[in-house]
Amino acid sequence: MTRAVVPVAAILILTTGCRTGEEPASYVIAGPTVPSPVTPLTADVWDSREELAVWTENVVARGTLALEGTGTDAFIRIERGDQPWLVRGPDLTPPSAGVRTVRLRYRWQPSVAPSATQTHFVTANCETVTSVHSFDPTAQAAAHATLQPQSSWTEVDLTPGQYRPPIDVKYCYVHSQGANRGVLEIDRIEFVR
Amino acid sequence: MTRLVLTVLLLLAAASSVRAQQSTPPRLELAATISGIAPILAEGPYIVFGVGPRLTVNASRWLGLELGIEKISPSESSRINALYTTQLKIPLRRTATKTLSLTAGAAGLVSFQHRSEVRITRPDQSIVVHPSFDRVRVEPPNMPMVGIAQDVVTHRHAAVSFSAQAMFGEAAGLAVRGAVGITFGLGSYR
Repeated sequence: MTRAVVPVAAILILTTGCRTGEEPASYVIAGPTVPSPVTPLTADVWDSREELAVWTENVVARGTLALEGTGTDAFIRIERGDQPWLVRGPDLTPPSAGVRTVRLRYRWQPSVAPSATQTHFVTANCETVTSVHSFDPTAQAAAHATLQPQSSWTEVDLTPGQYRPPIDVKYCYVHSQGANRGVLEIDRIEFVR
Repeated sequence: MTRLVLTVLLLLAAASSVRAQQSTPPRLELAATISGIAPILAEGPYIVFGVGPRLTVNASRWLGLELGIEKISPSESSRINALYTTQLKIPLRRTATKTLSLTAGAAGLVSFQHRSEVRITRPDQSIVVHPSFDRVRVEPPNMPMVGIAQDVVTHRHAAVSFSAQAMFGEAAGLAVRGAVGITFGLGSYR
């Protein structure tokens, strides 16, 4: 009887095929947290110096960042637009619901030859409550904008990438790999519903 | 189809007429085989190569069972792909040193995939971890194959084998497989 088990099992495997070892699910080890010592005057809008400081004064933020001005006239100054930079927003408790994208109020003044590309590419990534992609549960929602040179304050809504708004946001960060030389200033960051 | 059956019967009949002068194969044979597979009706032209072991169990002088597995390459992915074959070997003509056989059976694909753990640090310093895993997939033997094999005894315990087969199936379309191998008999060729 035992002798027959092995060939029968082999024949069953051969005739039906088999598959072992499913791909385990990917997971995320959370990065540093960024608690917010201030509550924005308007929900999901960071405009004053204290509110913008939450984005620049944490362990995740990097680049040539400086805060200038006072009150709602304050802005983040990124001296070296040609170098990578990142500003990380506060952890949102509870998460901000129904967010469609991120809006920046900015000035971008490139200092490259007129014949060169004058733009500055920025990305906003948002950690969401639920997955934004069925094919990659670890993906963050990403929105992008190519900033054109502006000497006066200008608003831009970042264009959603491969996610379907609205989303519920746990935190968000805005960053760039850097490209053209120039100075970028961000006067306000807000979520768009 | 009828013509094919008649041809096979004629070959078997011819084989039986020369059985008196034949040698006896060892009960077990172990072989190292290299092969080339060229799809004819599938998209191509290209050729894949295989290398691997083969075990033959000779149930009698006139019936053998061959089990083989060959690692095939090149591969379009990081997977290791292999072709396993299960076929009956029916000697048609046997002399002291040479045996011509009809082979018929089926082949299937086996793939093995190994992925090491991958960690990607995102700009916010969180880390996405894609865990390591091993995956083995055995397809059913869905590629019928038929062909001929010639074994030439070169030593008391060794022979060189040549074979040519036609394979049919979803993966191969119609393919031709040619193989050459060195066979070692567990017991002598007499």
